[in-house]
Amino acid sequence: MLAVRGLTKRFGATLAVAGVDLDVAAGESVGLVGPNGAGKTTVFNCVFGQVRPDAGTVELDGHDIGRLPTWRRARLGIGRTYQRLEVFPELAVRDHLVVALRVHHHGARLWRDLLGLGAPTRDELAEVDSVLDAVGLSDRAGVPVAALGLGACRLVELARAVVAKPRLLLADEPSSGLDEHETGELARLLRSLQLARGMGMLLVEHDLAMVEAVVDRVVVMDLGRVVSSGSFHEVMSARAVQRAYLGAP
Amino acid sequence: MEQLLGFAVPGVPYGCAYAVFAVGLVLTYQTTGVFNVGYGAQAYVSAFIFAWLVDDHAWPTWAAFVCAVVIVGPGLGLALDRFLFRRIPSSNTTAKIVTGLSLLVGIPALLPVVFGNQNLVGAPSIVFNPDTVYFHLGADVPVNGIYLSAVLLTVVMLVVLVLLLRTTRLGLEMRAAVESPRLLELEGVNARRVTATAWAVCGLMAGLAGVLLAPTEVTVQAQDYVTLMVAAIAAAAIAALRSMPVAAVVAVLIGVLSLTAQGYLPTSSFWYSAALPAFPFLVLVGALLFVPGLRHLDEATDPLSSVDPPPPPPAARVRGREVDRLVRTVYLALLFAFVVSMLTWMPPTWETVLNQGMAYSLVFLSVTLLTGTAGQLSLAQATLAGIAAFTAGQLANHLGLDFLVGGAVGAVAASVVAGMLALASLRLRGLGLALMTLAAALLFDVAIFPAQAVSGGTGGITLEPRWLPLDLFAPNGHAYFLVVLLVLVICAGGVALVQRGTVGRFLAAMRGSELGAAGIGVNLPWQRVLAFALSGALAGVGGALLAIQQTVIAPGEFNYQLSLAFVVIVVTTGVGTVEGAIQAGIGLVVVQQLMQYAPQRLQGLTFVLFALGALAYAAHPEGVVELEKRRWTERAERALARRHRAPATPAVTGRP
Repeated sequence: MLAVRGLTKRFGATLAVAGVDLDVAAGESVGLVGPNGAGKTTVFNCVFGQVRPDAGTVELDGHDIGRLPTWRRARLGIGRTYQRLEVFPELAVRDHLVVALRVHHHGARLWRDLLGLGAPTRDELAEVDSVLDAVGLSDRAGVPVAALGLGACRLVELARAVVAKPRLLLADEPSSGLDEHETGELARLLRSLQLARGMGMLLVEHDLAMVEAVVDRVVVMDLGRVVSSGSFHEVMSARAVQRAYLGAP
Repeated sequence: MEQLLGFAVPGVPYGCAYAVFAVGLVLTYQTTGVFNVGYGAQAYVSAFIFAWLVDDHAWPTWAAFVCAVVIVGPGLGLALDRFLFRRIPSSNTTAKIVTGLSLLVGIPALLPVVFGNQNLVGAPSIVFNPDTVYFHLGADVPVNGIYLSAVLLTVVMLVVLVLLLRTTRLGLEMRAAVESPRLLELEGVNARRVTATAWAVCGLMAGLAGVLLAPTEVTVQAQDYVTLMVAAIAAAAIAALRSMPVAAVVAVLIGVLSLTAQGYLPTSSFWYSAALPAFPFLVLVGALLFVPGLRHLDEATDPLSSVDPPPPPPAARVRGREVDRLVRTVYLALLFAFVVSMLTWMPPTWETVLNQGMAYSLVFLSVTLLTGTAGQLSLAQATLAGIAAFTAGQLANHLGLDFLVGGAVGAVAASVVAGMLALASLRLRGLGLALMTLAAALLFDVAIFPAQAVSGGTGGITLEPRWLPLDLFAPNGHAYFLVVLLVLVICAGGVALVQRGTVGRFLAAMRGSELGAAGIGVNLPWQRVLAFALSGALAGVGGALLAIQQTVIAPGEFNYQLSLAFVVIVVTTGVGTVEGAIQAGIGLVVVQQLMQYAPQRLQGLTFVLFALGALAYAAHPEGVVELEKRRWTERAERALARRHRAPATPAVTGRP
C-alpha cells in the first residue's frame, strides 16, 4: 500500500534521511525505530507531506503522492497522530471527530451552514460515538479538549485519526509523556483498532515494549539509513541494531 | 553628482530615524520575543515629557533628558513587562500583537488626558545644534546638526546594542529567555529578571530615540512617531527581525531612495503622488513575500510552551440549558425594548448615535469571524469597509446606481480584495499575516484612497439624497434604523450559524492547530481565503451603511489607524462571539457620546478605555465583557442549582 523509494532529505549540511526504502502492506503494522537523530520523524513528515524530500518517491496504492499537500494526502486515506499534541483546544472531544468525519464525507458547505443544516446528523453522531466508545472517551464527549489531561488528549488524537477510516495510520511516538500503565493500555488499544479496522500502520516509537506489542514487522534506522528490517526479535538481535543503540563493541 | 547628493543627503536623517526605530523593533523582538508595534508610542512618551518639561516648565535640558529617557523610558518598559507582556504565554502571538496595538492606540490618546492638550514646539537638540551647518558635502550640500545627530545616534545605538546582544552574558541570557524562559530558569537563571532588564533596555532605547528625534520635527506629535514606526517595520522585516545592522542599512536606504526619487520625479506624475509614498509599504510586502525567515516567526520554540493553560471557553458555550434559555429571553426582551424605543421616544441625537453603533457592529462582525472564529489577524478591516463605501459612492455618482445596491456591489468588491489578500499571504501566519494586512491598509491609505478616481480627492464623496430610494436622511425618519437593523440581524444570524456549522468547526480547527487541521484533511488555504472573503463582505456591508450615516465618504474615514482601533475595541468586548461585536459597536458610540459631556481634555478617553480593556486580553483572551458574562453565568448556574436542590431538603428541619 505505502511504498517509499530512495527517500533523501538534507537540512543544510546534515543528511537527515539517506535513500530510505520502506513498505507498508494493507493491514500490516510496521514499527519504525532507532536512536534519536536517526531520521524517523523526517521520514514521517516526508510521507505525510509536511516536509518536501530532496529526492525519492512516496506512493500510496501505486499512485505518486509526493507532490500533494498534507490535506490531500489525508483525504486519500492517511491518518496521523503527533508526538507533540496537535489538538483543537477549544473544541469538544466529539467535535474533533465530527470535523474529521465531515472532511471525508461532506466537506464544508457554506450554504448548508447558513440554512442551519450544519449540525451533525444522527448517522455521524452514531459513528463518532462508536469510536469514542472504542477509545473509552464516551463520558467526556462534550468536554473541551483544553480541560483534558495528556493521556486523554492522546486518545482524542487517535480517535480523530481513525474515525475517518484511514487505510494507513501514522502514529508518531504515541506513548510520549505517558506512564507505563497508560502506555500498555494505549498499545492494546492501538493494536485492537488496527486489527479491527484492517488499516496499515506505521509506528514511530522509542518504547520497545510497546513496539513489540503492536507491530508485525520492525524497520530500524540509524543516521538516516535503514540498518535492519524484520520481525521484532530478529531485528533486536541484529548486530547493526545493537551497534546503533549501544555503540560499537 | 552634485544634484544626486543634493537629493540623497536630506534623506539621511529620515533614513536614520527609520533605522533607530527599526533597530529598536529588532532589539525588542530579539530580547523579549514581542514584535512591539507600541514601540513608537513608547518613544513618543519620552519625547512628549522631555519637550513638556523644557517648554512648559523651563527645566534644564539635561534634567529633562534624565527624567524622560533615564527614568521614564526604562520605567515604562518595566511597567509593560510587569503588568502586560509577562502575563502573555510565549506561544500566543495574537495576544502580543493586540497588546502592542492597544499601546499604540491608547498611549497617544492618554497623554492629552493626563497633561492636557499641549502644543510642544521646538524640542531642543541635546547633541548638535540643528541650525548650525557643520560642513559641506561636495561643493554646496550643507550638513547641519540634524544630519549629524541622526547619523551619530544611529551608529552609536547600533554598535552598543550589537555588542550588548552578541558579546555579553546578559545578551545571551536575554536571547535564551526569548527561546524558553522556563528552560533558562532550569539553568539557575532568574528569567523574569532577565526579561525585565530586556524591557528596561528597550524602554531606554525607545526613550532615547524619541528625544533625539524630537528636534527633527517642528512640533512633538504622536502621528509622526506612528508614521516613523510604519516605515521602520519594513526595514525590520527585511532583516527578518534578526539582524540589527541589516535593519539599519535597509532603513537608511529607504529614507535616501525615497528622497532621491522625490527629487527626480515630476511632482504631477502618478509615481510621485502614489508610488513614492507607498515605497516603504511595497518594501514590506516584498519582505513578507520573499524573506523566508518571516514565514516561521510564530513557530513556538519553547519546548515547555504546552504547559500554559488553554483559554477558557466563551460564556455562551459553558452555560446550561436553563441559563441559556434565560439569557436568550433577556436578549430578546432587550432587542424588543430597543426597537420600540428607537421607533418611539428615543431623542434624534441618540437615535443617530445608536444607528452608527449598529453600522459599526457590522464591521466588527468581520473581526469576530476572522479573528475570533478563524484565528487570523487582519489590520485592514477599515480599509475593506472603505472599499465598499467608495465603490458604492462612485457607482452612484457615475452610473446613478442606488446606494444600497452599490453598497452590495461594494461588499462583493471588498470580499474579492480580502480574498486576494489572503491568497497573497497563504505562506504567512500570525505576525507575518498581520503585517501583510497592515501593509495593504497603508498602501490603500497613501496610494489608492486619495486618488481622484476612487474618493474624489481629499474632500471625499458627498452623498446625495437622490441616490437612495428611502427617506434615509430625515432626522425623524426611521428608515435607516430599520434597514441597518435588518442587515445586522441577518449578518449576525449568519455569522452565528457559520460558527455552529461545518465551516465554523473547520475554522475553529484551523485556529486551534493548523498542523492538526491539515492532518485530518482540512483544506487550509481554501478555509483561509473563505474566512477572509466572508469577513471582507461583512466589513464592506458595514462600511457602506456607515457611509450613509456619515453622508461624506472621505479617505481619512477608513484609514489604517481605524483598523487598529477596530481590533482593539472588539477584543475588549469579546472577539469570539457575535454578541461581542454588537456590544463593541454600541459600546464605542455610547462611550464616545457620553464623552461629549466630559471636559475637553477627556475627549480622547474613549480609545484609552478600550485600549485598557484590550490590555486585559493578556490575562483574559475572551475579552473583559465576555469574562464578566461568564462569571455571571456561573453565578446564575449556582443559584439555579441551589433552587433545584431546595425541594430535596426536608421542609421540617427538626428545630423547635
